[in-house]
Amino acid sequence: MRPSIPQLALMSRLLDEALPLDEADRRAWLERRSPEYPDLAQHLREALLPQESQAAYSKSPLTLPGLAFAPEFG
Amino acid sequence: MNQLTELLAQLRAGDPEARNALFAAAYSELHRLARSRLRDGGRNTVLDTTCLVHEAYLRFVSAGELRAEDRRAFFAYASQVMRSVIVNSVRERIAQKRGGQWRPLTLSTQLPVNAADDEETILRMHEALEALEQADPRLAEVAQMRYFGGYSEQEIAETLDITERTVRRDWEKARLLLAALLR
Repeated sequence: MRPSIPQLALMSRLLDEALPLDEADRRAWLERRSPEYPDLAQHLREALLPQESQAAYSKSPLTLPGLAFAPEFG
Repeated sequence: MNQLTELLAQLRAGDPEARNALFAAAYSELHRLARSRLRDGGRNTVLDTTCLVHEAYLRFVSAGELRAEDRRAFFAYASQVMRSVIVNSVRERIAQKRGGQWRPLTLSTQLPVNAADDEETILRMHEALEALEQADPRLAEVAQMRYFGGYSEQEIAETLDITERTVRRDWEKARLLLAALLR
C-alpha cells in the first residue's frame, strides 16, 4: 500500500537510522524495529534489503527518460 | 535592468506576485530554449535539461536581467520551472492523443516504443514528488534537481549550500521513498 504523508515522513526518519548500517546490521535492525511499524515494515525491508525483495526498489527512479521534442513542440 | 534579480529579492521577501512573475519569465525562456534546441538538433535529439538551465542563466545574465551572483538562487528555482515545462509537455501530448489529434513526434523519447511508458513514468514521478514535498521538502528539492533538472551532485550541493556527501545521502533516501510511492 502506498504510504501516507505522515508515514513517508516517519519512514524518512527511520531510514536515517538504518541506511548507514551494513547488511547484517540492517537485518537485525529490521527484526528489532519492524514490529513497531507494521504498516511500514514491508517498505522498510524492501528499501533496506533490496536483494531479498521482488519489488523493484533497486531499480527506483534515477534519471528522466530520454526526452526529445520535435519541431512542432510548443 | 536586473529584472530577475529584483524578482528574486522580492521572492525572498515573501512577495507572491514576484514568484508568479519569476516563474513566467523563466518558464518562457526554458520552453523557448527547449524548442529551439531540439529544432536545431532534429527529431531525435535528447533534451539535456541541465544544459538548458545553464544556457537560460547565461542569457539572463548577458541580457542584464540577472546578476551573476544570483546564480545559486536561479538554479534552485530553475529545476522547478524545468519540471513544469516537462510535465506540461507530457500532459499536452497525452491530451492530443485523447483528442485524436496526436502528432507522433510532438514529444518523443529516445526509445519510441516505450514512449507511453515514459510519459506515465514522468507524470507518476511528478505526483510522487508532490507527496515527498509534504513529507520532506529538502529531499524533494534534491530529487527535483536531480531528476527534472539533471543537475550533478556538485551543482546541487552548491545550489543548496550543503556538502556533496549530504546530497548523495539525500538522493539515496529520496529514491527509496519515491520507490515506495511509485509501487
